[in-house]
Amino acid sequence: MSVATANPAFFRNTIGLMRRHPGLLFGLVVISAMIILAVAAPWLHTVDPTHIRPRMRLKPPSSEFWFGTDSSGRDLWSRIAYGSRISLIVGAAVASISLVIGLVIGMIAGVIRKLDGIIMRVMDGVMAIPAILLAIMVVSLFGAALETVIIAITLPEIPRVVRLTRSVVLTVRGEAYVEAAISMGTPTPILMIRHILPNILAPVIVQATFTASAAILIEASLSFLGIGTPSEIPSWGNIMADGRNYFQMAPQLIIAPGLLVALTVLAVNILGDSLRDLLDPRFARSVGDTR
Amino acid sequence: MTDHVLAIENLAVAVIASPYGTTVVKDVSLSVGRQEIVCVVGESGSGKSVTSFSVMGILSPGLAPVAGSIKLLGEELIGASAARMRELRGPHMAMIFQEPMTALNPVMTVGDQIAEIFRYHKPGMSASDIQDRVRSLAEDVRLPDPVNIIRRYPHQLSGGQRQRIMIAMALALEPALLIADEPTTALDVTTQKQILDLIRDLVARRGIGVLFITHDFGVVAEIADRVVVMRAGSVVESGPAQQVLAHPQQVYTRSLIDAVPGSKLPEARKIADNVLLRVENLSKTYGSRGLFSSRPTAAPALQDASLNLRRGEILGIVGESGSGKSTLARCISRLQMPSSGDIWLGDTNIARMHERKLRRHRKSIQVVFQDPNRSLNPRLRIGDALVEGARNFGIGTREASDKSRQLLALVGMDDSALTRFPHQFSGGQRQRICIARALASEPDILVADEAVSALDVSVQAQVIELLEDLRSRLGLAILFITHDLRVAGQLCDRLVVMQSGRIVEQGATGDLFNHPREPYTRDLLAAAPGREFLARAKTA
Repeated sequence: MSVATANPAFFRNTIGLMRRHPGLLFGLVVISAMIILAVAAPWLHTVDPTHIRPRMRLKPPSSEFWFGTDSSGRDLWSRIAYGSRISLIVGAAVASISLVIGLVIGMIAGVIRKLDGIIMRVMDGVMAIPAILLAIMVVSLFGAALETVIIAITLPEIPRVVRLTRSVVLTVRGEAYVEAAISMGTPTPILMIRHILPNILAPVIVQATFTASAAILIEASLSFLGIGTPSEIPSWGNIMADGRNYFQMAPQLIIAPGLLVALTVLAVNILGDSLRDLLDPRFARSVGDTR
Repeated sequence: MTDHVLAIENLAVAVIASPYGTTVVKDVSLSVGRQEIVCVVGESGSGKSVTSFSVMGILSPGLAPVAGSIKLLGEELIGASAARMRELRGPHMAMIFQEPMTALNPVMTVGDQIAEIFRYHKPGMSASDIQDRVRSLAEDVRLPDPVNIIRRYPHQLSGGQRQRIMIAMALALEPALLIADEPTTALDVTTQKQILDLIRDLVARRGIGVLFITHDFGVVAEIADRVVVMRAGSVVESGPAQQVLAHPQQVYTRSLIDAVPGSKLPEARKIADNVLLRVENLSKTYGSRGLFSSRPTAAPALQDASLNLRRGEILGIVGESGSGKSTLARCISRLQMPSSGDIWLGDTNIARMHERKLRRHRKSIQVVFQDPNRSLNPRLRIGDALVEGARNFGIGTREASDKSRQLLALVGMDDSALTRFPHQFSGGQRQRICIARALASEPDILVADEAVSALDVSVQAQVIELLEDLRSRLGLAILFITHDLRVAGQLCDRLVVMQSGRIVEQGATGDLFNHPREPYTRDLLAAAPGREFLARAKTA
């Protein structure tokens, strides 16, 4: 049965869900719009974002250049549309890589108690290094490239996921169903995958959304400082960095990409918040139930 | 009628948020007079707590009274403003809850918490007057050494002492009505008896009316003047306690009274001398292991415990909280490693066996836990949960799933359960599933750690019956851990009584009940609620 012929209850339920969690709706709509912008950039009244037109420098918005042009005469709208790809890729990549690595390390720390102390001290060590400084170091060591930026932002996020995972694992480990599985002679790997993993995923996924929004912000900051994504690639941070000298003449050079960064981060965060309410009924219940 | 402290008439409470207007309580009428204890009895979901919350005006959002009247000292409470209800709570009515720890602020001394009530409600009182009142209240609720105890924090007090503090707080402003919502359910039997005595004593001395919510007819027999039996939101039967207890009019009431465990002792059965499990001098000391140091804490949780378990025998381990009975069970099922001693399973000593070798032996000992809500993986279908144990011990998938069908039938459930998730079952059903799961690996020994304590009395009786049945059909040996002597007396062939980590007495159930040797055992027996009533019922 295809979605189109699916029963109307499905749509009613979805609409009801959206009404109860307006944040979910807002987050999903904004993020979907960003994804469409990124994927369909070539067909959205854009030109080559790197094409330089010396005669058309710092033009105000017009029907030809929707957002005007920058100091090299490049079309700002095209640059922003293509730039959204960088932000989304960085957000998604950092979130998923740190999620997977953090989950594995966190579960090992939580289940195999002998390794716990060592793993957590190493994580504490990594956490002690400021994210931006670490990123600067990695980028200056390996040169500016999108991959380097992603690695540089992912590294300091991993300990956060590890800590969260470990703490949830410790709670779940004490649950009677895990003890029941142990007393049934369940081997440790199966215990982790069947009994522990499904019961810790919800908070970790919520954490991943916050990681994604932080990554988008950090990427923009790094690019703005000139140590992130290579300057020839249009990213929102790079656009702002290029435009900062011309703020008085052409404020849209900073305002437009800035607004988009803010909007995306806001949408991802709100999505994360409503996901938490949705996935973690305990939290919602503790608010609603006064007993 | 002005001599009624509380009069509820035709009260109905409904879920207002629901479009269907589901009624959770309907047509409830009851009254509480001065110097009277009225017990509201019912199983979970009967609406007894909702009724008491309606009186206090602390219903969960989404619930609201939709009909009837609640009069406190003649004043209508339904429709009273939130401000008026706040004025009434404290000086005119007060409530105590089941779990005294969560109801107290952990960062304030208990004395300050009592004093705070006076500071809010009697702003004119001087500090020294307040101190005097706090002290006299502490004396009133019979706290030992009241001067010092009010300077302590909640975690430094025992459960019973905390409940006394709660009662002191409730009585601080001399309310006419005290609502007690299962105030002794979380307490040990001996402590329960003291609290029940205290409440009865306070009623006599102060002339307050008490609305006492409970699920236990044993407690009713101890304390009630009048009884209101509730089921599924309605009053089933009400009347003077003696009358309802002796001549219940309704079948449901009858079944609740009969379900009070301990109404009968089992007949002594002959058990072949086929020892399955031999525990010798088992001890467990919890150590706090740090990264660099390992030092044991002072008191051992379990000391020199020795016992035998024979095939087809149900051995009860009874004791109050902290007696080490759970530690003993967890060591025997090797969820914990004992510090010293031997656990002989046939010819193998599993006491300090390494986990990898132990896995083979785990098959023989299976555990059923206390809380059926937490002992099933919420994200695993029942069918998957049931085949897991069998598959871990090398049984094929097909064979294992055939077997899970048989197991479900064995515990009295049908195949449709296989594809469902744990949350779709009631507590009693879940406990049956847990038992089925434990049986999947064909164990010789079943460790039931407070396996019926979280269940309603009628469900409790069913699960006990199931365990008895499994014992005789499969020749299982069952280690039955419980704090409830009455349940143990009903089910077990032999009993082991534990106190502060040691076994104080063990023997055949009948002997132990009729001729307890140790004073502690005698105290435990005497404290079991409803004992006199049951004794009278037996002779009648």
